[in-house]
Amino acid sequence: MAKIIVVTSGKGGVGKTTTSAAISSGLALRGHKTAVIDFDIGLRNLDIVMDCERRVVYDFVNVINGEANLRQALIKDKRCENLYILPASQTRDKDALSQEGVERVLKELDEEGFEFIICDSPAGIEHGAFMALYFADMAIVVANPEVSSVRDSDRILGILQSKSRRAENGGQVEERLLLTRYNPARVAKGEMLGVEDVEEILATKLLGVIPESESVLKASNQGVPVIHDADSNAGQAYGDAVSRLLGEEVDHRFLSVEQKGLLQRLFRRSA
Amino acid sequence: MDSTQASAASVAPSSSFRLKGGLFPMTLLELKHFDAADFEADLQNKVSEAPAFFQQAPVVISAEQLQTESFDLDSCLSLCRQYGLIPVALRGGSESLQALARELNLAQMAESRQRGSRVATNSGGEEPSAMQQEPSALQQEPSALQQEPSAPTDEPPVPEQQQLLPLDESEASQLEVDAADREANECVDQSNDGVGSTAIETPPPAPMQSKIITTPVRSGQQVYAAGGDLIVMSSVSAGAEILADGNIHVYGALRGRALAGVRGDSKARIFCQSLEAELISIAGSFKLDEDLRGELWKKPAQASLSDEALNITGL
Repeated sequence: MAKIIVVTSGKGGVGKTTTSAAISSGLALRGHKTAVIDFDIGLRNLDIVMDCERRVVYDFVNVINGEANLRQALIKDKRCENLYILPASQTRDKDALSQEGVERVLKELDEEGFEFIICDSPAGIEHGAFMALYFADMAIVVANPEVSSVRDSDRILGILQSKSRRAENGGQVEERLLLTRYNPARVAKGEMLGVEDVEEILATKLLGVIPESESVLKASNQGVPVIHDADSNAGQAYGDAVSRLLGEEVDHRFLSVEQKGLLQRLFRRSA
Repeated sequence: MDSTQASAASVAPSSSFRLKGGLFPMTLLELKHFDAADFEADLQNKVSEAPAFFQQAPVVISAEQLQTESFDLDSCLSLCRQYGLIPVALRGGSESLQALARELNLAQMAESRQRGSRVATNSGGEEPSAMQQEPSALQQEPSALQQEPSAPTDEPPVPEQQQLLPLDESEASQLEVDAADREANECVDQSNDGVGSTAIETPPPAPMQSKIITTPVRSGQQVYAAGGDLIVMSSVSAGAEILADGNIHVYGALRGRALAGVRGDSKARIFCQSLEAELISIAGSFKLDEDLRGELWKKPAQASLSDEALNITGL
């Protein structure tokens, strides 16, 4: 059975799409056949971040409406052998997603032999976000280390555990917390919530901490998921997160201000 | 050692046992008319609907609604026993019927009051005498009753929706409520129907229904424990709301809103491992976080109500 993972947050702009792109690429790079679906109908971004915008012919909504079949709509990633993207429609709105339609598409992906299906959720707690999380086996909750983002993540965790299909059947959705835009220096100065604070408030297992990094913005503008940038600490942190997702025990890095780390980074940059 | 100083004179001199007040939900079998054949058919019908509930269940026969002066109490009792019920007392009925009941070793229950009247208002003189007539173990020692623990006071706020009885004839008896209520000032507004129905859902000893939550209560979620305590084994997030008719226990940080005794039970309390709440309320009296940010902030604490004032103390 394909494992369905929703990348969600409640709040917008925290890094859901960046994370979806990075995690799905990371899984594919490790040899797992992975599909990533953009649920942000009307505000599609994933195809831009993954640089396949110009190759979109059919989209998720076309497949749901039966206007195209799944194979026609899936876009094969340029960089990873095992990665396929199912883009969102830019011309429809989120109501175009029907529960039955989404379920059918997920089932077809499963039948195509995909091991992981990453659902990139839109922000908010409206229909689109609900559709993205409803069928999830696992949720990666993306949060920035600030109070409002953490609060929204808490809210989305509550929705996951009450409104998802698993919850309705008396089960639980596996929860993982991914903290992005983490800046240890600002945490030390008390300007940002620390990892421990966020973990304590959300009481959720930590999947990873992605340090604030210029490479993230650069990657998304260039359409290369940041995980391909193995020199950047953000790329490495995403790599660690993928390892943990696959069950490996990896120590968390980039949590504290380390002069050495900074020097290394500068050294690598110039090299 | 041999008591020259008699132990607190209020308690019965006997030492082989202790008399205590107890409050048990009981089924009231309210007869509308009695015809042995009809009664058996109806009874059989009811019992088949919920066999487990009727197994060895004590019932109080009520003759209050009965139009006729007397009826064949004896055959009524034997039919009840035949279907697993244990008739323990008679409520209402004519003089002669009550005499017959005494002969048949049935306890005598006080008649019910007007619907809607408060139970406590009826704590007058005739109740105790009715109790004392009883030959059985139902006799109550008044002083013991006055020490009645919190159980009865926790009972009153029974959610109204539970009053939809699956079995129309059944109703909780007011067996000991009367006496116990002498001490409990809060009144039971015809809540006995509700007590009876909770008993129907979960047979005999479940007067209170606690709700246990093992996962975090997240922002935007609301949990309400109707008719009992709420126990949260995890944290309650900011923006979450937990409510209970009884007490609230949080074995984690309480960061959201907690409202105990929402149906007016002023004896309800709130306990938590770390007090970081946005709001705490007991029976309508509340404090906001700005009033709570004192010495006990982020520490284990409890909240209770005394003289309408909400007190926060450490644990």
